[in-house]
Amino acid sequence: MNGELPPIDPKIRAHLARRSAGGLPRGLLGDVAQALDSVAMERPRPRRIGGRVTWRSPQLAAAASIAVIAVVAAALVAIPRLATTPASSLAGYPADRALTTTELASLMAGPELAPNTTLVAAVTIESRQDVCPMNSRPTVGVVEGMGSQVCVMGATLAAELPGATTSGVFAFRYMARGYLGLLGQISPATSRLAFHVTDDWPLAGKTFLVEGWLGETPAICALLVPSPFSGDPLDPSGDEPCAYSWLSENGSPVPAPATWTPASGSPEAAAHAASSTPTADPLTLIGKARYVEAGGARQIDSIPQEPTRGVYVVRSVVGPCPGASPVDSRGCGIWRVLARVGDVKIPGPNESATIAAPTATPTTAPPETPVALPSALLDPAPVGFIGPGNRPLTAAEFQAAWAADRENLAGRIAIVKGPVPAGFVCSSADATTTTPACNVAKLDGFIAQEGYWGVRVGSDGRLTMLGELSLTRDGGFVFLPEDVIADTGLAPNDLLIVSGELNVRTTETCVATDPNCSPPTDLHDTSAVLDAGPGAYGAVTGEDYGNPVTGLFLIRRGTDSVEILACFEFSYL
Amino acid sequence: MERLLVEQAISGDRHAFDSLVRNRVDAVYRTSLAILGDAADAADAVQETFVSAWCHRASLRDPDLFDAWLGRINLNACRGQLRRRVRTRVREIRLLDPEDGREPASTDRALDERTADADVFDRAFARLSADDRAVLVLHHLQERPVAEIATTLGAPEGTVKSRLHRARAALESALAKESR
Repeated sequence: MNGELPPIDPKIRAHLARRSAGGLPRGLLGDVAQALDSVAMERPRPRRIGGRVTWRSPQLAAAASIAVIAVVAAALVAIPRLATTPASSLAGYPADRALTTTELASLMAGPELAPNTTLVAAVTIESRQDVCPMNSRPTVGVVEGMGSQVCVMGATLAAELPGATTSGVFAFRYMARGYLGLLGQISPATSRLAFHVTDDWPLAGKTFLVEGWLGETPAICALLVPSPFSGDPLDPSGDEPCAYSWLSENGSPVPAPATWTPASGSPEAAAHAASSTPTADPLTLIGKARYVEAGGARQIDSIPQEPTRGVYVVRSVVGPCPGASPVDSRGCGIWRVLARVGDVKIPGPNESATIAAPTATPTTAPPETPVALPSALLDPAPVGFIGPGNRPLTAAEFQAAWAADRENLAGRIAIVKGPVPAGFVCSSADATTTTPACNVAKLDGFIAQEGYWGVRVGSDGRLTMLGELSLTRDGGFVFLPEDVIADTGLAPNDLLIVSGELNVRTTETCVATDPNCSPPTDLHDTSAVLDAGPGAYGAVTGEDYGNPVTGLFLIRRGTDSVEILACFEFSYL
Repeated sequence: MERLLVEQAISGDRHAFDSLVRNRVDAVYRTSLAILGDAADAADAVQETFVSAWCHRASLRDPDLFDAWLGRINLNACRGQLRRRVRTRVREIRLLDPEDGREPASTDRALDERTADADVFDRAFARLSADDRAVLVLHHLQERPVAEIATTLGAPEGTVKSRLHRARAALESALAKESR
């Protein structure tokens, strides 16, 4: 069978058989099942930097408790997601159209989405009255056409799915891979999917989308108001004790209800004048705005206080009428914001899907994110330098970083996106300023070649070229260890960025108490191991032994091992 | 049938995954025990292996490679156990007779020799790295094909032979030291 391998040694075999003999420990299978139950609700670890198994079974709790997570200041960026390639927006989504079944399937099969990301999709849901096998929770249905099973959670919303199958546009919150939480079936507007603020919104418990600006007007309240309960993400509360939220067409400030008066001669004016308590009817337009309840959604989706444009999932609910006595049991309609639809980007033909967390999106392009600098306390080498979101620095970012703290940048390896400033010198002798500066225009002119480049920053600002980074097969620049092994297109001396975990390889011949021993080091993930040679762990951490280090590593590929040149953004585990 | 179970497990079906666990827990435990030589460590490695496999099931691209993929995860779990052992190492010593301080007498010389032989082997084996231990177990005990050993180790097939040779040499060296 293994002709090219040495023959089986019966003596070794006998010893190994002796070592592995004996029955399974009593209760092991149950312990495994219990450990699996404990992580059933955890999201599977995405294949990305920084991702770690956060679970520990009871037997492993002690080991986990001593694992110190120290995010080192050299964690230049704290970006949760690694986008390997730019993604493009879905045209018209979500104001004009919903995700198709195919698009939803690709998103569910793609990289992990942020929990609670709200998606709007036109799908068919097969009703179920059982439990989702993934987490043994009651499910109300399964989304058809997803390839792998996608359960729909939300037992209280089973009425939304009256038949054996229900087709329509639904708003979901992404809960984890394999299951979605149902916010509700969406009632579309006439000409498109989302309503404008000034449209007539549906009543009687309907759920719908509204495109506009969600803002709030502060209200006078007691100093010590407890934080309101956000509610179930699938049924958020509306509590917002110290503010009046509103949705508006243009984001302009909206007055508090008590101070609002309708324009003279307007349809609302007569009713307003007749009212003994001049409070606004929640269903009435306030100029180009409407009051809404949004306290729970604000907390769940981290929607800021400032007017934030987006497409919101809104439901008309019945609540107490403003100024009405408690005996008025009929109630009044209230608009409750359930969620803000997530900013979804879908992949191109060879790209991977990325989804932004469901936080507010600025309506104007922000300036390029400032680049945080590593702590001056750290030894410059081999801590490297990379841009926000684990992407190469642009020339402008590099210039800003250099201008901000040249002392700290000097000596480090930086990853820069071309055009590359080869031969370029950041000079402190600029004629117009004493701040160290770089001439970006001139910089751009030196090399017009696109690409990702590793450069070493000299103390004089001069850059020494290490080389161009190899790209993954899908055009990204971050490899996993198994990619490095499997990619036959790579050659010795290629420069790569690898996401993985750096570990000291334990051997009895190189023990922790031996100061003269540089222990061998592995760079690995759950699937593959790269031999990083002796001393690599110590070069990165300054200690020969310690906890594993996870991060992005710049490596030079050897024939049977790799050389660690720099470590970007790392943390101890 | 097996492939279907794997596919269902990848898609998040816990029942299917539980079936896979039941079918493999014995093999995974024995591999862990052969590498680690300690029942408690091996049990921990088994738990870690299956929980990690469940958490990372989406990374399994080819259901037919489930066993090799699981083997890699198991090897990583064993590596982790060995790393933890560095910080909590307990060296076992042979008990002396409390009466006179001598080793307990044995009435079976052959058994004593076999025990001593096993002790030497285990101490020598403990000098090896997790990868060296694994490649010896995969080849000499489990007789896995080269391709599967390569996949489990996360190494190119071409280096399996050299790794095996290196591991064997390390074991011989360790045995020589422990036999002195």
